Amino acid sequence: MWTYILRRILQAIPTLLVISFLIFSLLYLTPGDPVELIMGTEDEQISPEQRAIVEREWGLDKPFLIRYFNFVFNAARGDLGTSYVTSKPVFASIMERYPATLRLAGSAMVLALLISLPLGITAALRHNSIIDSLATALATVGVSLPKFWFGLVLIITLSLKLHLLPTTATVNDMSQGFWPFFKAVIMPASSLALGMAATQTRMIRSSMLDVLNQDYVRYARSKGLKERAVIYGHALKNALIPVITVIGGEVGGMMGGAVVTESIFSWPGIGRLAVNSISKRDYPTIQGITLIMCISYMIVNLLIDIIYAWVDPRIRLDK
Amino acid sequence: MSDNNKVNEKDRVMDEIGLEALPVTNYWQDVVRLFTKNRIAVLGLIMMVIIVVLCVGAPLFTSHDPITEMNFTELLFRPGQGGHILGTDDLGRDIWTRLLYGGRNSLVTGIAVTLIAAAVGIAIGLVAGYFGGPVESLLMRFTDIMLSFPFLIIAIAIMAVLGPSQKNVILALAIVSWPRFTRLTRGQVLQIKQLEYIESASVAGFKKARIMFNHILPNCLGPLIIQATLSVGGAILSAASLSYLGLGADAAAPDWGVMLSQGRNYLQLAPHLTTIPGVAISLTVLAMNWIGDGLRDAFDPKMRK
Repeated sequence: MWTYILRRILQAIPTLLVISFLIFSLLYLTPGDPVELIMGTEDEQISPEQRAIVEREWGLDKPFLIRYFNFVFNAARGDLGTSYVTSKPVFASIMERYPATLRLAGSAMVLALLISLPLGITAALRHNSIIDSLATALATVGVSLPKFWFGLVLIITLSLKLHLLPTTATVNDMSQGFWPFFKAVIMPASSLALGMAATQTRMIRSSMLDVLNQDYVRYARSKGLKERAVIYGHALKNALIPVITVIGGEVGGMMGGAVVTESIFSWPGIGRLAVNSISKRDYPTIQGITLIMCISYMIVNLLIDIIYAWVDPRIRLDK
Repeated sequence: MSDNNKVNEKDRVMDEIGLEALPVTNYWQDVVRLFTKNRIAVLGLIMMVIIVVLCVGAPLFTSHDPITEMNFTELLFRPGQGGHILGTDDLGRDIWTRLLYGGRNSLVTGIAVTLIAAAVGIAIGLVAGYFGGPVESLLMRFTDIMLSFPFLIIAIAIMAVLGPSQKNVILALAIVSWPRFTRLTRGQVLQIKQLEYIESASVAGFKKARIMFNHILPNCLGPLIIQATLSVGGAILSAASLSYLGLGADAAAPDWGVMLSQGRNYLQLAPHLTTIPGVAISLTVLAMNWIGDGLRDAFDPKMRK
């Protein structure tokens, strides 16, 4: 098991280097003059001396590859550079907002599972019934709606028409107890969870259908086990294995979704920071957020691979 | 002699029985037959045809202009008010008109992204799968790395660099979409490469390019067509997200994502500015997904219930 984990971590390193290189070169190639952005003035008002000072101070006078290696070495030590706009360290301002994004994404994940597990299992158990068709139809509709639009519709109906919930999040943690947090998080989390719940419902349904046709389920039934024991003791555990991988892929989609959802609901996470940084052309921050999101995505998928290998020995013993 | 006749007669009858039991159809006819038997898929296709006709023939269905025709005495009309079927927006422009012209942009984006991503992705997948060895390792390693990005995040970063325009949206989304096609193509090629007819083609002395494109590619089209169908819907959704963030099409353009983004300032006053383009996007993507699901069942009868 440990060799498997070690191998997967080592495999992640070249990926990380390529990702950081792509992100770095992308923003390096961006048209626009960083010195103007740092000084907050137009090109004409900057003297060559001032320009030279700023360039030296920010390391902009170095050649591309040296700047890239500096970026990588600093990033490895948790230094993602300094914001052009606020002059604060990028890593600190990302970490300040990261927990809020985690709370939103976590809530969305829980919500998606709360919807998709019962729906997917019921659909599979009552194969070809009305519930089954309804679940399948809902799942297709769920992946077809733009998530952020669903969020806007929630605001229009629940906040503006029915006055049940606030339009923007005033709290984003449990500091004032569970209930205020629930009221603040339920709309953004629903909008974020929509696509995920839909994909998972489909996946759980088809995976459960596969498992229910297996010999060991038939055997469990024929030895006289109660239907409950067959389903929850034998079938469900095995049906959930492929679902775990889907969750990994969905986390990536959720990060993109978080950028839009956070800006709709004024949720103070890194997604909203990203949108603000783009409008201010604060490239170090954009670069930092993109890198942090890619790393988070990789960590989630690494964890999922490990869980997968743990529940299914065939994988870790392969090769 | 009579015995012989009897045998021939029997053969003839058997042949006829065989023929009436199994009408001779080819693979594609089977696919079409299975697809048309699927009611939801046909509904999706009909919806899509209607949407395409309405958008392509936009000038036939409206007399207004989507961009320039502003009327400041007719701001934020509700649907039906003042002869505007779906009302007017914050600049007094007819929403029905903007919806029709906007659909053109959404469809063009969805289709262009898919075509570019499919062309690049399939080419790389074919080469990787057919040649194998270090070429395959290198190409697939790169593909896996591209797939390990959260794709909308990368599209957002690319748009932040390129600046907002429809052309850039297509480029950014194509850059993040091709790896799925590569993965799929390679998987197909690896299966087909083993088959005997490929072996006989290479023994017969056909060139590698000809084997790849004429012998292998046509036989892995099924899953690729499904992926392409779903990709059109996905690209329309992603383009709308980008537009909503102000990173999509030009803000003056009639575009469903841009319309949504402009509507957000009037959620209280005129919610229809937001709901209408959202419904349009949802219906289009839903139709594409239904077609995709129908094709999946049609291409792979095993997948059917």
